[in-house]
Amino acid sequence: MTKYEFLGDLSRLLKDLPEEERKQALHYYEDYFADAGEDNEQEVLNELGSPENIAELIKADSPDEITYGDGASTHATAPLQPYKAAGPEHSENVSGNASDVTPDSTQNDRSQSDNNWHSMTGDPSGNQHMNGDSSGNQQSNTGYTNGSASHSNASGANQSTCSRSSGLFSGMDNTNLIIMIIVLVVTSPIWGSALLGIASFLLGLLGALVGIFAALVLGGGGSAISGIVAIVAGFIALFAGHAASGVLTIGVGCLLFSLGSAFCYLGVFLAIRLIPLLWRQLGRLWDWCRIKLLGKEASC
Amino acid sequence: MIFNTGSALLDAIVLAVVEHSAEGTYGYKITQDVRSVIDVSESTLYPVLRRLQKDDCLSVYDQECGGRNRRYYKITERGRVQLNLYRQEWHNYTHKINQLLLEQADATIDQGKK
Repeated sequence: MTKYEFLGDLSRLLKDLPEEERKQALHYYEDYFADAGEDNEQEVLNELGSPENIAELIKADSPDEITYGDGASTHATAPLQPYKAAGPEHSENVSGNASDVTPDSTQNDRSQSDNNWHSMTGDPSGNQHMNGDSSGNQQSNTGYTNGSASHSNASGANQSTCSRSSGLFSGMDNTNLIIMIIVLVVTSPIWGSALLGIASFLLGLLGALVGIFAALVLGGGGSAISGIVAIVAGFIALFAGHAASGVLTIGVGCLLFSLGSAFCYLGVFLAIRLIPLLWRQLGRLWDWCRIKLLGKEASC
Repeated sequence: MIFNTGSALLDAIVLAVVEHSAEGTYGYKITQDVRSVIDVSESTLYPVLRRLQKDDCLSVYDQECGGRNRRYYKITERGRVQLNLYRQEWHNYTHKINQLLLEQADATIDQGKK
């Protein structure tokens, strides 16, 4: 994971906080990376853990404020909360950290299971690995890594992501903008059809993915059901006197059932694993597009 | 690190670290200083700073530094009061525990009888 990915993910994860809160948190971590120095970026990323963890800790503190009420009077007498001082631990321990921070937060159980979930798919090395496995993700993945590589080159020059812009359409004065618009309109058939091509390709990919999952789940499920039916029919035939064909039918039924349920399970399992991943990558792709086109101010 | 650091103790440590700099200090430095004393994850410190700021124990200001705005934290009057409270509590707390853990058994009983 890069600093850019971390901050982008954190920014999205904190979207349900008030704008001021989110800005402050992002400012803090941008400062942190900058002060640590570029050489220590990976070390800092290891220390901080996953953005999901950070976001949970930040969000967990907000309801805390409400339960404390007036700061000074309750602060000194507030019961010592067993705040687990976590060492340099990774996202594997995310669930432990989140649940210990605010034992009286009702949001806790939900966020803990969310964290468990995210620690499965959010682990940096695991994430990369999964993307490599799924063929459907190949296209968006390579598109993204190209984008992030060129962006991290650009971000080397820019310390803060919020103060300067370097997108395609930013920093232009009015006459330039008008010329740009005219050129765009005139060349619209070119980029228009290119965009349409890309869009239909992506849609096609999506359709293929849906098809695969549907085939696995429905086909597998259907085979399993017909397997059961065959087993029942086989037993009936058996007791009706057709021993040989009855046994054969039972056997075929068992086979159908086991293969069918295996495929069905595989389909469901893959779907559950891959959909959040896809969603995350889409989110990052979206951020990347916005930043490339509209400049970095768009991400603040 | 065997003993858990409660949230109050963490607050006290952070306040003490910030108090050491009259002009204030910034997030990364605070984290380094705190971590030189206790073993705590970097991810836990921002929420603490944020909470202390909301409780009006710390104030923030930005200063231009190398082309960006660096955020500095400074202790407030209320923060100092809070820190002194923590200091007193800490003194009482550790005094009793030190007596129990570190001194001889009969000496403890004698002192307890005083």
